[in-house]
Amino acid sequence: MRTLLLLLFLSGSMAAAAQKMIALTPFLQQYGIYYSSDRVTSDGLGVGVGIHALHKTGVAGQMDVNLFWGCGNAVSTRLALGYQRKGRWTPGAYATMNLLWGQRIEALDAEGNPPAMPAWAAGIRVTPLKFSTPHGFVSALEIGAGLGPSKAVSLEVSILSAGITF
Amino acid sequence: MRLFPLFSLCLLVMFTGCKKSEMDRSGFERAVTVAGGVTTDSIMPWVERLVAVRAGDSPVDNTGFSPGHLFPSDHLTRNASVGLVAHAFESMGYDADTVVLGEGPQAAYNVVAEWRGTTRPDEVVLVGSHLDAFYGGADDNGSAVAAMLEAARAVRKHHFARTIRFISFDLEEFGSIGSTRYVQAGYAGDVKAAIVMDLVGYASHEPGSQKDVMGIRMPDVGDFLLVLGNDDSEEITRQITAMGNSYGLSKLLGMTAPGDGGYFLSEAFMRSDHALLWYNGIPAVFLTDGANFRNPNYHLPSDLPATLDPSFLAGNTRALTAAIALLAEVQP
Repeated sequence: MRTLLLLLFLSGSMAAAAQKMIALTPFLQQYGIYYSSDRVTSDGLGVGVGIHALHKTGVAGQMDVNLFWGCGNAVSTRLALGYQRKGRWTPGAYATMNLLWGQRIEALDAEGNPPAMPAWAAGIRVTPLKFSTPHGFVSALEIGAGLGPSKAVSLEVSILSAGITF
Repeated sequence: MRLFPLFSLCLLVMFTGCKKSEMDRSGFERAVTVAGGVTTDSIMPWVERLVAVRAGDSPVDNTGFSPGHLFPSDHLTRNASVGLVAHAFESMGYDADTVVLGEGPQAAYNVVAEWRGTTRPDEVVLVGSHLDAFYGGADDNGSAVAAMLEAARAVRKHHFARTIRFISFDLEEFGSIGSTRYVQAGYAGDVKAAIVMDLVGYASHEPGSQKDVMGIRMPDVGDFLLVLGNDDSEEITRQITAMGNSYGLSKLLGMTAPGDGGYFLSEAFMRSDHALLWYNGIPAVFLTDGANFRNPNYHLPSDLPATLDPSFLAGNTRALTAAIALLAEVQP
């Protein structure tokens, strides 16, 4: 028990220390996706909110939630980890995990069972036109692609996203 | 530290999966016994008769519907099919009724026959297939009319809690005119569930024979029948798919569209007489072989009986009959 408490204290201290070196940027974005697998088809355009965390080293993480409409009402929850160039022009590349919830076209199995919720895809995302200042960022044409179960292919695009750094 | 709970919550939400409820399979076995009464030898002759009478029929006035690619509006017939279907129902002992909706040269002649329910006759299970056709229309839609007629013959050996209403809709090819007028006139107010068919007789076992449907991925080989539902008909779509596959009646692929089906991608699922049922919240499933996404003879003079797969059509007729028995609740 004592060891567990010590580990918790240490991990908490490390997280707190790390946070001082991290710039947090909440952001808004336009979002579009087409997801197609043998079991699930989902697509749409929408909007999302998220938080972007940038370490001094350039290592960056991002969490965002996006609502999109096109084949019913659906939600994308996405985690990303990658690297962002330093300076004013700050393109980046990320590994992503995207989970899709909500309405979609479903192919049943032979026993009539629907596919599991959520559908997911793991992939990459690039942000070639991202520009940053100490106060925030603006990014255009972020493009993502991923693969998932049942031969899923996921294509994503954000025409524009912008955030303010705290 | 502030990020840690937020990150944990996000992970928890992301990886908590959802599972839908188990379906009710209690009526499967009894429903399948009704399908055992389907006589496969009589199905293809219905298709051949329909194609034959259409050859001598006069085309429908196509004013307002200019001919186009895969839309030969100047080659649509229906009069002879109305007579043949009505006579077929009469010969089985039904009182066939031709419900005329609309006026003028594009009035719709829907042929209706009912097998009255015993305990809940005011609840109706609608079984629909359109009778109008471009050229001979063996697959589109002679195959579905033939399946419906054989099912109508098979169910008369049994009694059901609900009324079964067979309808051959008219003028589907001009935009589901017959079914739309039927629903708008209030005739579907007592319908509790529906099965609508459009092209159910073409299959191929060749790789690449099935195309994706407007961005919706399909299996590569076109040897299955699509069972399409929406939110309102999700449960019966699952049941019909499971029953047909698990009892070996036919090879079925169930798919469900979100909401009422009227979204951008799922619009591809709404190309027949079930569309207005979906829009009106009536649980309906749509059975099809995929039309032009599989059948190269779609809306062409080459849509002839010889291009159909009789065993595929027979299996689909058994699956249809079992589905009717399940939804209408066959009595012991």
